[in-house]
Amino acid sequence: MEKVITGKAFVLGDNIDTDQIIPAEHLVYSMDDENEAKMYGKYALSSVPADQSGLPQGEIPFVKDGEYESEYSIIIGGSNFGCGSSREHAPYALMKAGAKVIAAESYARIFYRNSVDGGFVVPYESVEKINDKIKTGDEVKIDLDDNKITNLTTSKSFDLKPLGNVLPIISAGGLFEYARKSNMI
Amino acid sequence: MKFTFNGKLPNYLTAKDLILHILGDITTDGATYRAMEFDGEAVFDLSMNERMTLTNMAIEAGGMNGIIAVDEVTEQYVKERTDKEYQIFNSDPDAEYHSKYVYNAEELEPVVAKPHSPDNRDTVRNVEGTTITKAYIGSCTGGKISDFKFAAQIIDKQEVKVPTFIVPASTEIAAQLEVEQHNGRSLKEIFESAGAVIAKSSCAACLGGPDDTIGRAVDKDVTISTTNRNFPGRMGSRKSEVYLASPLTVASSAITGVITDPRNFL
Repeated sequence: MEKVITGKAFVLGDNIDTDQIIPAEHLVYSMDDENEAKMYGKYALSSVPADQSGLPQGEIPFVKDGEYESEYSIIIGGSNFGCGSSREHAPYALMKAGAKVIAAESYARIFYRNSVDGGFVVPYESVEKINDKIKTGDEVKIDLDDNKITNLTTSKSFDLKPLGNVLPIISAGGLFEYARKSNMI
Repeated sequence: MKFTFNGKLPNYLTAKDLILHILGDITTDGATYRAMEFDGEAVFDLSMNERMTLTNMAIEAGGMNGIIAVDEVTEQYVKERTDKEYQIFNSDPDAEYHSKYVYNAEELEPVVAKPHSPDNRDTVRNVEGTTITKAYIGSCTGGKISDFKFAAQIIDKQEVKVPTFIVPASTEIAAQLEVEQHNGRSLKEIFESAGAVIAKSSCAACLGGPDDTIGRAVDKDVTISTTNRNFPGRMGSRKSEVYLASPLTVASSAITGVITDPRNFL
């Protein structure tokens, strides 16, 4: 996995639940069939209330109508990101849309582990609240060695909490791949 | 985190009221990364089914688990299901808790979680009279036989005013609806003669699902439901609203067509 990830930020508020990330009505596609799986990208974050989608101004869809991937690769969240239903499709949908990293103040535990165990996205916890310091569309850089996020648009940097043991699992492509690579299975 | 409910639970309250009460106090991330232990006379008076409503909804506070110490009720439940030996774990007597909340169960009121979050608590009295378009009693948390017994107490010999969906959590519970009786009639008979729809056991509309899902919220539906979550669009249409409540409150509201305090019927 690359050590520096740059991209455009998509900013969200607190308590983004998994029904907002991928509504249950779309949990009908195969994750193994590429033509069907891309639908998860199309509908990623499609149920976030419009005024909360792409802060601070809102009304910005994560994925444009008719497209399968987002122009935003870094998601900035508040507290309790990924709360609600246990659903591996939630971090999977974000990955299919092209998201590589989430930086949020805190996570609902099941979403966090699903992100890691599936090797879908890197769930970074920010040390301070950052979703009011980065705007949707800002260019941001995440340095995985330094555990820092830099808003290239404003040149301000913020500390992220070290990922500890979970980064090797995500880099391997998920828990099973990690176990295979480490000769655990 | 420890949540103690002292005193006896009044007949107009269920475990759902207790957990919605807690959620209102600690919010949907109030227990993130923590364990929630439930304690006190009112908790140990609960049936195993009702205890599951409490522990199941720990996740709505972000909890990693919800636990209740083992007592005779737990042991009987386990023994009915296995002959295997088991070991009992208890919290250390000198355990330190992140925080402790103490309630007097006798003073609590029936509550709802208003749209669009399980922590958006209000008393039923405060929202009484809100028009509803659907009532839903179902899901893993709210579709157990104990939930249907509560509902049958209220619905018996009445007719529902809004489309009302009875969705058993499992095929075992679906079968029990035909066996369990209230005032000499099976729960199935009570619900059917009241005009409620009994669906096949499934998650059904708890999480919305495809367009043809039974009980799904469409357009601007206002649903009162015994399920876990009421996030935007959770039960279907993004324009819909969901109130979470106990089976007693949902049943009372189904009969009147507006949100109704179960004390009006008990």
